[in-house]
Amino acid sequence: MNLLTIKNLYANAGEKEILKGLNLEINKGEIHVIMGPNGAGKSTLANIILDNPQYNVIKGNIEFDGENINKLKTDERAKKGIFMSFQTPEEVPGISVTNFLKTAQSSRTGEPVKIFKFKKELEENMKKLDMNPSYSTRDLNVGFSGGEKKKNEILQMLTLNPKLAILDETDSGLDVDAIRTVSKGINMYKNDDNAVLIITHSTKILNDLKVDKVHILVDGKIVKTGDANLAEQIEEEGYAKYI
Amino acid sequence: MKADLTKYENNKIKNIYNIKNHENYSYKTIGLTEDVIKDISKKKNESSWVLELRLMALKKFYELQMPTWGPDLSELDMSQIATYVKPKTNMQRTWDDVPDEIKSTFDALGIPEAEKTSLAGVGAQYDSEIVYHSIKDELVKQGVIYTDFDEAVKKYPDLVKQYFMKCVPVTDHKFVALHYAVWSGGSFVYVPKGVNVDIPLQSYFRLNAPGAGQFEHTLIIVDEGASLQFIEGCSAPKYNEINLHAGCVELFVKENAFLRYSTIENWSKNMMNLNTKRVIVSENGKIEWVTGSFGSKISMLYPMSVLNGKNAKCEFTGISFAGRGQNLDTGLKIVHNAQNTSSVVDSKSISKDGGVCTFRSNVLIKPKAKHSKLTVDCESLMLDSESRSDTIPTNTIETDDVQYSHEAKIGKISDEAIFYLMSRGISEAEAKAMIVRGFANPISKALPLEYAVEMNNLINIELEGSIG
Amino acid sequence: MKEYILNSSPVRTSENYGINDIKLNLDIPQYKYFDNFSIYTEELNKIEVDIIESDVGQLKKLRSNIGLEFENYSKIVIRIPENSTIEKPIVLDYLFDEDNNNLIDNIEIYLEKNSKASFILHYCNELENENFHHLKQVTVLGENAIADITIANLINNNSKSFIAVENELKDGAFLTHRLIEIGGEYKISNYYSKMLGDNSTNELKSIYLGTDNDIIDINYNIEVLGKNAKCNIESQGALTGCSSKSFKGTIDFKKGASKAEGIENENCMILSNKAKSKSLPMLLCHEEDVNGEHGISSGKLDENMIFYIMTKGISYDDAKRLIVKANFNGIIKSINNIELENEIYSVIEKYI
Repeated sequence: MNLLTIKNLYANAGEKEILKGLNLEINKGEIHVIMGPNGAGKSTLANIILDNPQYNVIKGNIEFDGENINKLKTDERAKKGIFMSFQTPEEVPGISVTNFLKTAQSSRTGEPVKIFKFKKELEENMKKLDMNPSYSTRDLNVGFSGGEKKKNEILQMLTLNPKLAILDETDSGLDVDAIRTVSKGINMYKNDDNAVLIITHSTKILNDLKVDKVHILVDGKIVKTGDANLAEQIEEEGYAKYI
Repeated sequence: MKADLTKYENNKIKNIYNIKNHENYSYKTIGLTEDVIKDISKKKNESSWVLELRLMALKKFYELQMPTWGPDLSELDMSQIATYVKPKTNMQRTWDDVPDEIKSTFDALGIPEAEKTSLAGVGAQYDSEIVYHSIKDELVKQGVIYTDFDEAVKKYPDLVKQYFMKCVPVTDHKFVALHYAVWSGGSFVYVPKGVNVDIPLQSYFRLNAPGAGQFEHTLIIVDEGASLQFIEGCSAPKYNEINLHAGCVELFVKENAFLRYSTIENWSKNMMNLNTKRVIVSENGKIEWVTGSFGSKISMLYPMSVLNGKNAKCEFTGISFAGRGQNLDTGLKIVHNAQNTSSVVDSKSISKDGGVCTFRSNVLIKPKAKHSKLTVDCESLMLDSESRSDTIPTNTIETDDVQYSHEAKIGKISDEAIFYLMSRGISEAEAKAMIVRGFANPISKALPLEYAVEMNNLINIELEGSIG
Repeated sequence: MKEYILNSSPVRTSENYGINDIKLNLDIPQYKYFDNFSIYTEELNKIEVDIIESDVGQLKKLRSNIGLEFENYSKIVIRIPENSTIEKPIVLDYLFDEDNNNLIDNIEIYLEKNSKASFILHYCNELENENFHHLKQVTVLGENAIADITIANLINNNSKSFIAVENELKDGAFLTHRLIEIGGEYKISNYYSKMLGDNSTNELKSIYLGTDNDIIDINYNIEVLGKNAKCNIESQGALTGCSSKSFKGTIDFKKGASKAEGIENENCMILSNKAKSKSLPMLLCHEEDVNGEHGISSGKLDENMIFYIMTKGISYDDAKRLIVKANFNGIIKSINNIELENEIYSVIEKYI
């Protein structure tokens, strides 16, 4: 079953043209990986899928779950089931992790959150992600270490349970143990009805995951698609032959 | 740059600023009446439109109120001020033609020397009139005009009329009205489209006569895509009477043009410095203000930048140093009046020996100024508890789409820093001086080397004690 | 209607900047008895309360630093005796309605040496009628006294609210003062503190919300005289609609206030392109050995933050509400009274 289809996408960051005719198809139950050199447009793609106002689509279509979402706002896309783990999550002083997730959860479902059940699930998820439960009462991302911020993104993914999770450089700057925890989180989340799109520089995060497709993104276009072996090949040889 | 000037050297520098020539004027008016103004206009051989303007301005001067805020100006008695003092020479094109006594003053101030090594043109005013003006031939060939204001009115009346009083209106405040009633001297600069004046021009204003006023008018137009660096210097020897400076600077920075306007002000401590400076910046233009205020008894000076075109930019870097008997009420005004305009303000002040420093600003972001950005930083250093340091910034924001932040700090030199330096064998006085110079460093860095040295010398003199 | 020039700043700047004073056309209503009022405290035996109602002119004129003057008003004096601690907050509750629509009150609080107490002054109404409220609240803190005072102005937006606070701190006194300014089409507030005591501390925390055509004029002035005294002004605000706000905040370090510290921060969220924000954060300093800082920030909400929140499925308007509430949260939480907290949030949500 097709989940995300991007057709001939051109997009800008400010005035600068970044994506130049990108095509991508992701089916339910799949894990996709996008790799590519700096400045190729990897993060732009993630931000465009969620309509970050700092980027704009010039032409092309984004379809999600059989529906064109070009005109939808960020929150509407999120409500459809798209999630993005941020490269540098925003610090929001004055609002706790729990309250934030409760608000997000109830705006997705349109129903009030059952507090007891919600808290219990949150605690369990935090435990599995090796997060200190005290983080749930702390202000969102404020004073979190790089690793804690990333884990917090994965925690949000588990709580909100989207159809498509886009992980933008979630592994960057993390040590081996933290990367393993993130992979664990992805495996907890993953099932046959949802999909994952991982944007990364390195293959470490892929070791514990069953990757279906690897795409090489160069200069705003996907230049090569292959299976998990392609990632290993890139790890050894770099991008030179695709540039 | 030499960091530790000896006392002897400091005294030498003090004496340079304090050179008093005999009063050697050929003509002088005292006070402010219609007759005095007619007299000045006649002596200057002016066209009737100029006289009419002066008389209108005088009327405005009497109509307008004294400021109801800021330093006490009650010591100023306009009927005692020498409103026009004509030196015993006409404007000269070579220093050799300038009378010896006047020339030796400018020699001591290092003006002719700087002209040879690092300036593209020089104007020198002595009391009410310009006594010397020069500009490099290459610039003349490119169409650059740099001359004294009287000559500009006569030779380029259309250009002058198009811009004169268009930036600073006569009704702006009482001392602008005074200025327009009695203005004399000053420089006129026109940089044609696309011409870059890389080496600075400098105008130096010297007030010699006791009890006199200086009212020079500076008008600079940097046309589309052109650029200019302009330096203004001023000083006077110390007298017991009140001297008055009410100059006016009108600047126009056109589309894609650039102007850096630097001022090192070291008026003597009997001067009331009630000066007005303003720039109008068009699309993609940029103004940079660099100012060092050291002298005067009272200063009220708030250079204003009107960012009228899209993407116009303003950078302001300034320092004030108030010692004994000084009240320096300085700051700036900025109006953001177009999209994407931005300004960065870095202001510092130092108060010592009972000196009063006030940073006063007014920032206005108009509804049109979407996506504008403004950062204001001011820092004040108190060197003792006899002194005062006040920060009075007004900010008005009339659009939601703006990034604005203002930060201010007041404090003393950290004891730990002094201890640290002293532990390396530096004396306490020198440690303090080093820290103060470090504090002033961002302004020094924005000045050409010679002027940075001059500023550091002034800081050394100020730190050592009050002048004469 | 008469024109009043009110809430003048302690140091003048150019009239052209339009922030020295606020000019308002006002009808000052006649004095009226206000009976919808209660005091709650669980330890009435430990405190002295004196209620004086004056329509017979037995009190002298009430003058406030806002610049208004009243012949008749109601006065409450609360005294906390030496060494006594009142655990639960003393709540003064005023409910405006059609009969009680005009309140001129003067509340004086005296905390004697080593005493400790907290107070909530709560002004609200259920109806949409027009009200007039002028409060002058004076506090004197003796040596090492600790007070926590919250003034919550939650009256409706057809009303006019004037709140003038004055206080004096002796050695070692610690005062926390919160001003929650939500209600009233005019919200005019004045805060004047004299920190006489060495080692005294003053924490002033305020919240303001401007909607529709609200006019907000804030004038805080803290004079620091004591050695090693510490003061902190934190003001969080949001403006929507065509509301306008002037914030004048002054920290004045007097000579002798060595090792004193003063910090002032104002953050104004401008949520509409018709709202206007003026600010004048003054630092006056006549003492070398002090640390003074102020910061002002203004502008629209951080786009990156809004985007981050929206990616979690929260709408733009909800994200905006969330950020405004988050910015107010620190101050509201610090009241430490869950009922009042919820009430403040529900009033805020009504407006934005």
